[in-house]
Amino acid sequence: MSTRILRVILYLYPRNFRDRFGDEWIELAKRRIGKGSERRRVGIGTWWPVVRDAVRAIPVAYGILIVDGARRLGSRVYRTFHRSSIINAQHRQSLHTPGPDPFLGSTGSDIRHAVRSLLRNPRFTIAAVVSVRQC
Amino acid sequence: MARSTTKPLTGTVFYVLLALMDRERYGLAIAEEIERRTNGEVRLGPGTLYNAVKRMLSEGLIAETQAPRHETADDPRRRYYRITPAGKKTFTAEAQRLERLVRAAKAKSAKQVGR
Repeated sequence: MSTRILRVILYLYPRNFRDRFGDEWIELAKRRIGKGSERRRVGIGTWWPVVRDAVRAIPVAYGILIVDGARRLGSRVYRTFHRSSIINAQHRQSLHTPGPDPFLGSTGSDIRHAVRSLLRNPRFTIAAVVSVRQC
Repeated sequence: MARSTTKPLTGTVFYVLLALMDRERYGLAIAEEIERRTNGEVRLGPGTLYNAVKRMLSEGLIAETQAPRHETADDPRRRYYRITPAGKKTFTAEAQRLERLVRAAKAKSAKQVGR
C-alpha cells in the first residue's frame, strides 16, 4: 500500500529523476514514513514528511531539469556556431588560396545549372528567349 | 561545470559533503550519517537529498564511484558517491567561512553580555 502511494508521489518528479534515483528515493521515503509503513495507515501525519519534502523538491527538480536543458542547448548552439564559423573561415581561406581558378569553376556550375533548369521547363525557356529577343 | 569556491553553500550541500568526507556512501547512508552527526536535528527528505546529489554531480563536487567490496552484496542497485578534490576544496572554504562567522558572532555576543 505505502509503496503504491510512494510510487504515485514519485511519478510527479521528472522522468530522469525517477529513472536515476527512483528506487533509492522509495527506500529513503519508506524510512521517513516509519518502519511500520506496510500496515494500512491513513493518518496524514505519517505521510507529512514525504509530502512536505515532495512539495518543496518537485519544483526544484523541474528547475534543475530546465537549467540543465538550457545549458545543453546553449552549448549545442555554441558548438554549431563555432563549427560553422570554422567552416566559413576555411571557405574564406580557400577563396584566397590560388588554385585552378575558383571563380570560373563556380561560374561554370552556375551555367550548367541554368541550362538544366531551362531544359526542364521549355515553355519558360521560349518565353525568356522571346522576351530577350524583343529587348 | 565547476562551482565557484567563494559562493556560500546551501545547508544540504554542506551536510552531504560532510557526510562524504571520510568515505564513499550511497543515498540512504548519506541521510543516516547527516542525521547521526546532527543528533537527529537534520532529517533530509528524499527529494531534497537527491536534488542536491544531482546538482552536486553536475557541479563536480561529488562523483559516482564503485561500491566498496564489503558492501557490494547489500544491494547492487545502490549508487555510491565520493567527494572530489573540488568538493573537498569547496567544503574547506565553506568551513573556514562559517568559522569566521561563528567567531564574529561570538565576539558580538560577548560584547552584549559585557554591557
